[in-house]
Amino acid sequence: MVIQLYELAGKGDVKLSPHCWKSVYALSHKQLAFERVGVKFLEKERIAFSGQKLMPILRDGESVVCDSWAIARYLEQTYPERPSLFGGAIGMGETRFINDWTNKVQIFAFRRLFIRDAYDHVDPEEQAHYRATREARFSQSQEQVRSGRPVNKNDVAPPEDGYGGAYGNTLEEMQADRDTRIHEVRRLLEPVRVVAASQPYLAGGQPGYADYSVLGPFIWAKSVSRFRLLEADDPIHAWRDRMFRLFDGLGHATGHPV
Amino acid sequence: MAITLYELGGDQDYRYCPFCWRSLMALRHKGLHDFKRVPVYYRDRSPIAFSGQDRVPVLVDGDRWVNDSWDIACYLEDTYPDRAPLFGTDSGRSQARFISAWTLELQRPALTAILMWDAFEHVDPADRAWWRADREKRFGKLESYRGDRQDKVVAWRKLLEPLRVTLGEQAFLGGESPAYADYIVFGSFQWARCISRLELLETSDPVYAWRERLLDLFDGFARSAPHVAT
Repeated sequence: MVIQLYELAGKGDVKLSPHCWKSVYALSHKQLAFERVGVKFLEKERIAFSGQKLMPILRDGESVVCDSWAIARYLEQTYPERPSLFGGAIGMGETRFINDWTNKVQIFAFRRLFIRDAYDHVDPEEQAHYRATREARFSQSQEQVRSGRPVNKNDVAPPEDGYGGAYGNTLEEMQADRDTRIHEVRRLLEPVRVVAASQPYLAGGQPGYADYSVLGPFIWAKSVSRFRLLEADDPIHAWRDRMFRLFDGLGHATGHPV
Repeated sequence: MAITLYELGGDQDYRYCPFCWRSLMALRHKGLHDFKRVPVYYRDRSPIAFSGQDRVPVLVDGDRWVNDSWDIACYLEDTYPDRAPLFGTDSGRSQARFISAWTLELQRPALTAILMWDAFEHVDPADRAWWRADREKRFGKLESYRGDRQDKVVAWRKLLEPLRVTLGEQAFLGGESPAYADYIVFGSFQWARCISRLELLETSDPVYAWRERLLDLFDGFARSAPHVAT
């Protein structure tokens, strides 16, 4: 049976999760054939086999693996003869940090730049659900309304004034100030910028999972929004273009041109 | 072959330079225990004039020398490949640069501003006039950094969140064992420990436990360094 990757999907099967994109690139890096299965927000019965409610989920024969980091580790361990995602034990340790930076800083900062644009790409029957859950989770008053329901641990908002400031209350308010907010978000990307200016990929001469971690949020962004995240003369822009060209131009072919 | 590390000297032999600490830990990591440490002061950089530049650390290994902590780490990895790896692979080396760039973001201006006055007080007395003039050009009056710092510390701890998450899951940035990525970040913590009594971390923080592990490495090498008693 071909490997299957279950991904969060919206209207027209557009994929709506940065974490799922990390897994798409990890599978491609390992030169594995796989099928992408889009699952909408309210179709969680379709992933009940995994025993939890979050995506991505990898199904490889008898193995079911949840969580993008666990998937990357599974692929590295199960297919060691294929190109390495991490470059050894130290490389894996470092990659985990870069991945955690992505989850805690980059994704948080990016989300509010296009959270309203993303709404337009959610299946119309699920838009009310999307609005209610996102406004509850990410609004300024999210501390008060969070009620112990299961949330993606990677989606828990960092401190209110951290990483680009607090979100607004509605999807519209969250996104409204993005033309000024973007400058702070670009500054937060400085570690990527420094590295991209001195070497082709974060992993060195060839891309690795560290690159896919940082790329995931960029593809998530262009899947739902035309908003310009990077200036053309930013070294990150050139790195991103190299990344978009990988695997037959998958990144360029996805979503809006940026 | 004799190895010498030229490092920044401070008041009462406090050796607090964060970049020098990266190199000190890298040397010990490679099992190179018998090296000479030579302090260099801002006022007289003639001891490293041979390197054609005026910044520490500078490593001398037999008839070769290397300056810049990153180049020193690469030199040690390439020259002593059979010893414990600092990077392991090209990916390990490349990705450590991200961690270095992230650490600089932590350091400047946030941590620098928090510890500015502590730093001044630990500069060698004969270097203080130079240091004050140099820093005040960039940061303004040193005295303006003497106020209550607790709010700044709380804000700074939030910047550690990615590190906190990673170290909640694994013992070191290098995975199960320490690697150069750990020494990059540790250098800044050791700088702070040498010069300040301020409690940067809460004891319940996974970053605190990680720092303790780093202080214990190499028979407590960093722990036993001259530092401000807490």
